[in-house]
Amino acid sequence: MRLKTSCKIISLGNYAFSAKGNLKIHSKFNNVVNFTDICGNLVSIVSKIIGNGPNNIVVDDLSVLEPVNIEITNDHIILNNEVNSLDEIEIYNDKFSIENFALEQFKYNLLHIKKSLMVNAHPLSAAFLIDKKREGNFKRGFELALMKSIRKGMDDLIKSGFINGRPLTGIGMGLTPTGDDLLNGTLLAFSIFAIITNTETLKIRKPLYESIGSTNIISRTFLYYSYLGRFYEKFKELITAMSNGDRLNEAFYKYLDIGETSGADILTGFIIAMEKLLDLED
Amino acid sequence: MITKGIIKTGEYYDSVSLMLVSKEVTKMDGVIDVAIVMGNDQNKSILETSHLLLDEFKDAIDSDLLIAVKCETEEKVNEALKKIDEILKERKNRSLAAGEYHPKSLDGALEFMSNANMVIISVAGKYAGNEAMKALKKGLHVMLFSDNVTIEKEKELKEYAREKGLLVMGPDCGTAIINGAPLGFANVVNRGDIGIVAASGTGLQEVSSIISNNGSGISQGIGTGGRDVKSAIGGIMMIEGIKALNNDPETKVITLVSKPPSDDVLEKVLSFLNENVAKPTVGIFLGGNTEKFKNSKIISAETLEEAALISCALSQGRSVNEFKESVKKRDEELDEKAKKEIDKLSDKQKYIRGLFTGGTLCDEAMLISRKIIGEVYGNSPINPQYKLKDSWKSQKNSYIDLGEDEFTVGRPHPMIDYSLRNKKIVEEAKDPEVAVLLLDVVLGYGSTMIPHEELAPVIREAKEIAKKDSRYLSIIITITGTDKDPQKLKEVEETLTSAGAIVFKSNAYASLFASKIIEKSNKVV
Repeated sequence: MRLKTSCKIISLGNYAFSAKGNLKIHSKFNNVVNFTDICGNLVSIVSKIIGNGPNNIVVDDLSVLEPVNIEITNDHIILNNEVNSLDEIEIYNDKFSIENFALEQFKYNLLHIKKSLMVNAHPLSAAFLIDKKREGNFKRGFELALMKSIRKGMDDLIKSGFINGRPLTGIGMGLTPTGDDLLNGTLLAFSIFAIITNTETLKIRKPLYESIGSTNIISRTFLYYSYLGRFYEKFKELITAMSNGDRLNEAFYKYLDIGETSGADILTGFIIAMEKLLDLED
Repeated sequence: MITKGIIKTGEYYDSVSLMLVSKEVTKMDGVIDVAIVMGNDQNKSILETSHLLLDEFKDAIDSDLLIAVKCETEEKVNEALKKIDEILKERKNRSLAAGEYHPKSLDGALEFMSNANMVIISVAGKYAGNEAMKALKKGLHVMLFSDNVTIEKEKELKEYAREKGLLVMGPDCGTAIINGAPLGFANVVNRGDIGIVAASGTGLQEVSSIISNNGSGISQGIGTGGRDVKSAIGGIMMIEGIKALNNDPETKVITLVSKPPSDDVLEKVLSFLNENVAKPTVGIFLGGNTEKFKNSKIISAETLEEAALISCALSQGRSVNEFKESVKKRDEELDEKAKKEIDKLSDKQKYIRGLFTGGTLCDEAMLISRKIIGEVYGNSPINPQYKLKDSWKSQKNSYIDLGEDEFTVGRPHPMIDYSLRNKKIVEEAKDPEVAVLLLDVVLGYGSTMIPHEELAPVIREAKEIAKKDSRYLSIIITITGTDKDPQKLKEVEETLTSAGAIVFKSNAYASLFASKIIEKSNKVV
């Protein structure tokens, strides 16, 4: 059956422009179709459930769309031969800014999401790093070895003052392995800390990002935007909720729902780094 | 116990799928352990620790998916692997996955993209010439990013290309804009009807950005490499570039950008223009003798900004002199602005220190400053007598091009990595005789993605150093770029301004302002 081949583009990330020319399908999932250009820039066509991001093109209904080709120029996006003028598409602002950020409330809510994570995270996620009891979920030889490597990688990262991410790079399963997700959470913590406290963190973020070893293009793209301080919508919503307390649980569960363990892994990295930055450790 | 495995190459699965597979197989009777991971070194090390690293896994690469199963019997292992394969196939049907392709040779690239008509070559200089010739023989235009190609080879390539009606952009050509695509270090500019031929990378960036920011656009931006306009090459590609733009129906105005060409090359270019080109042509030959243009049809500009604004006027059908009025008015405002800066300086503060990442921008700044404050020192000065003995130590009024080889050996280009310049900024801020720091920030592809974050803390630090010493330090920055650049001009401008810098969007304007501060504070030495 031939599916519908056109759909409405709702919004577009700033960095979707980075990929130019005719793009090639890299990988396809239920709510995401990834495309790359010849230089390796990644652009993702995503459904509303995934939401906005620096390199995302959000469409109205991906379930009835079969994205087969996309071309991006300075003025247009041509999706399945349908020309969409950029003037008519909302551009997503991937920067985070909020008036009167409530740092004390944020600190309180950081503890709240930490506790929620300890209860709700996937058993095989990296949340064992903030809740030692969870180590018991890792039973078989490979799982135990994986858990030990993750713990050692995180210990090494902390010991290095958060500038050596190499030991964590690529550890674990999938397109964004646990190690990369932890590093992503760490970079997010440093990037957002810079904004909410008006403190320079580039001296850490830069060597950390540069220390990250070889990983796949999807994971590398997430890490890159976190390093730059360009945020996906779900993360911005979570940070906003942590500041004002509105719909915090909803934002938390939406974030936790990323991938099988990715949401929990990113949050674990974020919490560990943020606690150090805010001097909130137990 | 038996351990067996398989490698899947070029297949991508999300963690949900892999966890599901792992969970399903683990439940099977007789299965002792299962691992499904990408083949990077860290994961291989974990497999080794858990005795699941098979010999065939040792050569796997990061993008390979490694699957290992340990069971009580071989039969069970085979059964588990079959099950894994089935589940993954089923997931794959739902989630189509395609591999990436990185051709390893020109032939491979052409198989992948058979209709390509241009190649970008960036390999070690000693191989680059031959690769370029190979490409020309296949009928491809060439952008030769590599440097260290001999001048003899360059001439051979360009003569051959001319015979075949092809372009060789380079060697050492870092910037071009072809059919709207920024190549190398280039900005995202509007498309339009102004075609540029440039023997200067940052010159092309500055002119194309100003054109775009002033409402016009670029049809093509053809780089030639700096040596093209010297006698040894004879301006072959400058002339071929002009020919191409003259024949291009989308180009209405031709703009030439270069440092001073050799006299014989300039004569050749002017004579070609006079005899063959009807389209209006603007020329900026930085530091060149404008007298030579008097009897030619070329409209001569003195700065990169002027070349861009004249080109815009021609493109938009406005009077060429129109922009001069606005520039005049702007200069009057500049005097007022300079006075405000002068009032904050102490008597001891006399000098300007220019720290540039773009070579042509540094040259232009020196040319503008020497007219106002006299000769300036540098690592590559206009007047060779003013060459710094030690490029690391500034003296009096000094301009440093940090893109010169002496600073880039073993380091990324300063447009990519600001660390060396940041160090120099702090050093210069400690000098009590320094009044003005003049810096450039070049946006666009190739350059650092976070120039403002790299520079803003250093600006604050430099200002703080001066403040602690009861001084005021004027920091002036010129930004080359557009709002369509990935770094976003406006955002960079706002961050640097809030850090205390005075920001301009034209190198000529910034250089003029900086020089006026030194001149008007009457501290010229």
